Amino acid sequence: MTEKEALIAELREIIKPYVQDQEAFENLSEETHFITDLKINSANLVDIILDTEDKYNIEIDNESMDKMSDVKSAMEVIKDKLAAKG
Amino acid sequence: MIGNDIIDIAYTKKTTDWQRRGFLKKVFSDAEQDIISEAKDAFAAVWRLWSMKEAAYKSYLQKGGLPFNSPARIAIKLTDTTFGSAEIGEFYQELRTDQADDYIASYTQPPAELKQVNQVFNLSKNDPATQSAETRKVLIQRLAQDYHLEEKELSISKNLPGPPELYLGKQKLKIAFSMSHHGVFGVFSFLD
Repeated sequence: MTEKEALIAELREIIKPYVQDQEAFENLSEETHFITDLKINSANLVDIILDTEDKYNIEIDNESMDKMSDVKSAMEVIKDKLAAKG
Repeated sequence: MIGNDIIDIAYTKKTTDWQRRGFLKKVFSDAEQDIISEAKDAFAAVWRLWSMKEAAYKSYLQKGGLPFNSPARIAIKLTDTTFGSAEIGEFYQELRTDQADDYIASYTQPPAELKQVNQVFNLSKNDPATQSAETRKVLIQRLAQDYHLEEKELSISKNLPGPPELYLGKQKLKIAFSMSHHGVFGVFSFLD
């Protein structure tokens, strides 16, 4: 498994409890949008941010949260924050 | 510009733990957190503020604002137990909230010269596969009735994450409207 595949797999586990559209979840790709595809409600989007912070021990500020609309952008934020942590 | 939001109280209690560590801080400013900690009913205060943010955000999108995820960027002020306002940067919106036993609904306040219809209704089931279509259908039925239009000709396009649009056949109608659903409740608003 590449590093990218591993990160997608971890992200899948984080978002799984909040997904409303299971079919879209089964077909999850980098392009999958949290709200328009997975139908995740906005309160649960906050849960996803908090769960991501807990899992990677990072802090996701408002600016980064605004970027996290789909799987790809979420992966980028996680990678950036982990890199900044060193 | 128009927006609304509804919170199904029972469903929220099941699906969102607002007391989890970090939640309030992610969503609310220090001033908003003070409102919550001073409230007799913290749950009601949290979700009143939240629904005001959501309703204001929908109105902001209709005005051409760019989508964002962070609820903390929307600043709420309360005037009394019903009225208040929201600011997103330069954008300003007055709001009202109706608190019922089983739901909390917030709406943008219309300009003085316009009348706004706000209607809460029960959905036949709490199912993400049908809620959105059912909410659109209830609004279309009401608009067809009020404006003497053919229900079959009316449709609502989804342009998520942007605001939806109303069509009569292929013609876009200029009726300002907003819809929300949550749990077993739907709500629509339109400017008459």
